[in-house]
Amino acid sequence: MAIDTEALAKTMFQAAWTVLKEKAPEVEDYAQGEFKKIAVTIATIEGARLRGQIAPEQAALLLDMQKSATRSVLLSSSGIELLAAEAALNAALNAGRTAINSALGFALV
Amino acid sequence: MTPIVQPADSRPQPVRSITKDSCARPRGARFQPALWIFVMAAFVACGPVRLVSPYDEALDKGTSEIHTRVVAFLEKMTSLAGKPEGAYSANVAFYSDLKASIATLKLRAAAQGKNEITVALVGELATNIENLRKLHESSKDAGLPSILASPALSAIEVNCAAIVKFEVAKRRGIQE
Repeated sequence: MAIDTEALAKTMFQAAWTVLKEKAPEVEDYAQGEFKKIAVTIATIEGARLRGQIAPEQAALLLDMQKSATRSVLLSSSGIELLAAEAALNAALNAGRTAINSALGFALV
Repeated sequence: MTPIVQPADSRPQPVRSITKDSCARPRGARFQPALWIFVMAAFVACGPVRLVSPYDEALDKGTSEIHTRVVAFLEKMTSLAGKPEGAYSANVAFYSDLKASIATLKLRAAAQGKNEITVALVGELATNIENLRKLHESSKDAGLPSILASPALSAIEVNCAAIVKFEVAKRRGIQE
């Protein structure tokens, strides 16, 4: 039975999105787009395997490559999440600069 | 007459009474608010807080260059599939060179603090280049026909894009 690429991409994205939506909502388009590409590639591998165009060990290697690609998307999203935390922290320090420095009587922040 | 000099440790020492307070904390280590404020000021005043290493142009360009080399190689291999020039044995050097380039990128990424994610991303790229090599090796004289090269390239492009995407986000300091 052929893989439904739309359903596979949606399943992969939704699983990742439950974590990402809270921490890094800005990666939605990026993650969605990359999971679509990965799902299409997995379907291509499946089709080639069913037609006997590739050996089982080659199919396994190609699937390993898609797993690595998936890990990369998630790692990059985590990194962007950290950047968001960094930006929020610096924005908070900047916003409080005047109040903190005035209260202390010298430039702490 | 030679003066008698007593060794330092044999001189009579003043007797100190041992109190509860002096046992709890050595002299000079009392809580000093001014010292704490100075330490905090030194920490905060050094610049913005960094949770991730800064943008690295060499890593960004190095990854783009690796991507270009892989795309060109796979295009060539696809056209040479089934010919002796497209066989794995005729192209072993490409993989050695590429592995060396990626190892250098990984070393550079690892040399910077707070760069664990980029190190892991470059590691994923290295893993997939090794998978591509194994794929090529497994097909022996058939080389890398499009049916193998195309999904392999798709995965490697995702690996490269993830590294570049993260570097670009670092440069902007905000999210993409």
